[in-house]
Amino acid sequence: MIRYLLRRGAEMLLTLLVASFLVFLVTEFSPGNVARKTLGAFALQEQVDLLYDRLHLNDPLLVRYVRWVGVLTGIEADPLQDPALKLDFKDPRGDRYFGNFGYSTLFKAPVNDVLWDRLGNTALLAGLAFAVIVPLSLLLGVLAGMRAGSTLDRVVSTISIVMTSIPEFALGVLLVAIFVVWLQWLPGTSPLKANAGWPIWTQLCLPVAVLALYDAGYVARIVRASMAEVMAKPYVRTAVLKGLPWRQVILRHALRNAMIAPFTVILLQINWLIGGVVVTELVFAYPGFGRMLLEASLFGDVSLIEAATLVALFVATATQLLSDVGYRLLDPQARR
Amino acid sequence: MSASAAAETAGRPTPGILRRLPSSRVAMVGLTLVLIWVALALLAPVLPMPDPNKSDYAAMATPFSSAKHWLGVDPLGRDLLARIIWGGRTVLAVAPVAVLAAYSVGCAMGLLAGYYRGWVDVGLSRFSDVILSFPVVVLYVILIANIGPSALNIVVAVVLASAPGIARIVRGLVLSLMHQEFVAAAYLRRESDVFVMLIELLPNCRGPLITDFCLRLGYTTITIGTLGFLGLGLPPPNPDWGGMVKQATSMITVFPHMSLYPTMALVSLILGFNLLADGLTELSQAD
Repeated sequence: MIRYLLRRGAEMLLTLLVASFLVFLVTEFSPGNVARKTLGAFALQEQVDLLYDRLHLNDPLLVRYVRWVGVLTGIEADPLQDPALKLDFKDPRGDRYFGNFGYSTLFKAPVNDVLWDRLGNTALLAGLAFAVIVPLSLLLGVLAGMRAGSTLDRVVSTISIVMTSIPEFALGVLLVAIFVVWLQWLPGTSPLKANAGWPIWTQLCLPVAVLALYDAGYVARIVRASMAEVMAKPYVRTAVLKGLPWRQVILRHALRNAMIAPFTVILLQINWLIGGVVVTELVFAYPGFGRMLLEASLFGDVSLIEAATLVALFVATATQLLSDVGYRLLDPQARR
Repeated sequence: MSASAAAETAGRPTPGILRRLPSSRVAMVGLTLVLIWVALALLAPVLPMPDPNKSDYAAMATPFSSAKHWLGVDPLGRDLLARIIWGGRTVLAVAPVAVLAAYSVGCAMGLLAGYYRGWVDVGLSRFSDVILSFPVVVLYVILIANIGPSALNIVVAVVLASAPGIARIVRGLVLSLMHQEFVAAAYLRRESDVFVMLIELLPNCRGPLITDFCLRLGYTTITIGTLGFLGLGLPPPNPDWGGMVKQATSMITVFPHMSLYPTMALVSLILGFNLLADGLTELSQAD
């Protein structure tokens, strides 16, 4: 198991390295762009040329990527903080430390000052959504898969396929139309601070609902399929035939095996949630990580894009590792 | 490629699963929804509708539905119904093209990896793993924001994001097919590698791929809508469902119909693709 963990950990690191290079390739492919984006649209051409020179943007892409990794790991000083550039980019942590993501040109602050607050807000949103998704989808999926083909199964299956057919932004618009415009029960935006007298918890309701409903439909379908498959197994038939109460057949016999596949799927939902928060946070003006990534991309804030994607990738690959390890622990067959 | 060609590929008579389609009620409901949009998209130029990009300033005072504008007008006074139908035309052209392109790349990757194994397989699979570890929307956002929003770039992004997933499915299918006798027979006949891959292996991967194709059409429609909503869709003034919703959300408290109608259009088309895929899955499991 330890060897397996080490191997998977190394693979994860390699994936992060390759993926971050791809991101670097996409964002910094044209070096002229980088200097221009850093200085903004109103900078003089001489300033752009000077920065181009100072940052050695003429070097091959791979060299520049290695330098970026150097700054990130604290081996090299962040060139943008050089006082000679007169950019006034100051980082209280200094210009050389581990985890230096550079300077955000959009927020005019070190990336580390911007990133983690936003990530915390998003973690709150995603955590609440997760707390709704897991019980809801398990309950619906098990109820539907318990008796495949029953009326309940048909109702649940239809609802979940409809839910997965509504993109997050469309769901957001529909919920806003119902609960904000029509019923006026909830606020339409969630800035997480005083908002026309709406308490914070009311601001969280709609974003959480959007994330939860979209994903719960998908997970419920997986749980249902897994449950229906287990219910058709001979050992479940035996349990029924030997006269066990239905409750016990479901809780003691069927559920244990039926939960293995959904376990991995549920953890992999975190990857989907990261995408979902980009859209949801935009709909509700939520001060989170996803909206920040979108704004950074539209603005051309190179350092922030690279940092945010790396963090998103880390979360995604870490949960994937977690789900694989969990799967091996849960399913003895996978260990062989 | 136009929407008509897309409809043709979706309905090509392949023996087996597609012929039994009418026996699945779910699939038929889905197919009907899709065909309604295909018909509207095809008829868009001949339908008696106002120009989708022309503003009717007189209608802007009361933008609700009227005899002249059945579904009302958008924030710029353009006819909503016309924009929705023309927007459907774009989605139904871009989504199938993007998925087909992703399929060409994905099938090629999967065939090569499964057929040659060894370092080809390792390289392609590792690359797929890296791409698949990206949260999809994040991949789309950083890609489109950097290469610029256009129909072609949406296709490029969809290919990059979906081809690895398709390759993974095809590779798995090829690995299981390689032990079959007809592959051994093709070797004995001294057929070329390309012949074995394209004539012997690929057609036999058909079954699972048809279902996956429908699902991906749904996902891609979601993607196109979402990109439009994020401001990374087709450049204005071309009607684009996601973009229409984005434009109208700031007025949702006053004129909710402006965002609701394009939303419903989008949802109905995605639902059509998903129901079709669901029906196909049911049929293939009944085998």
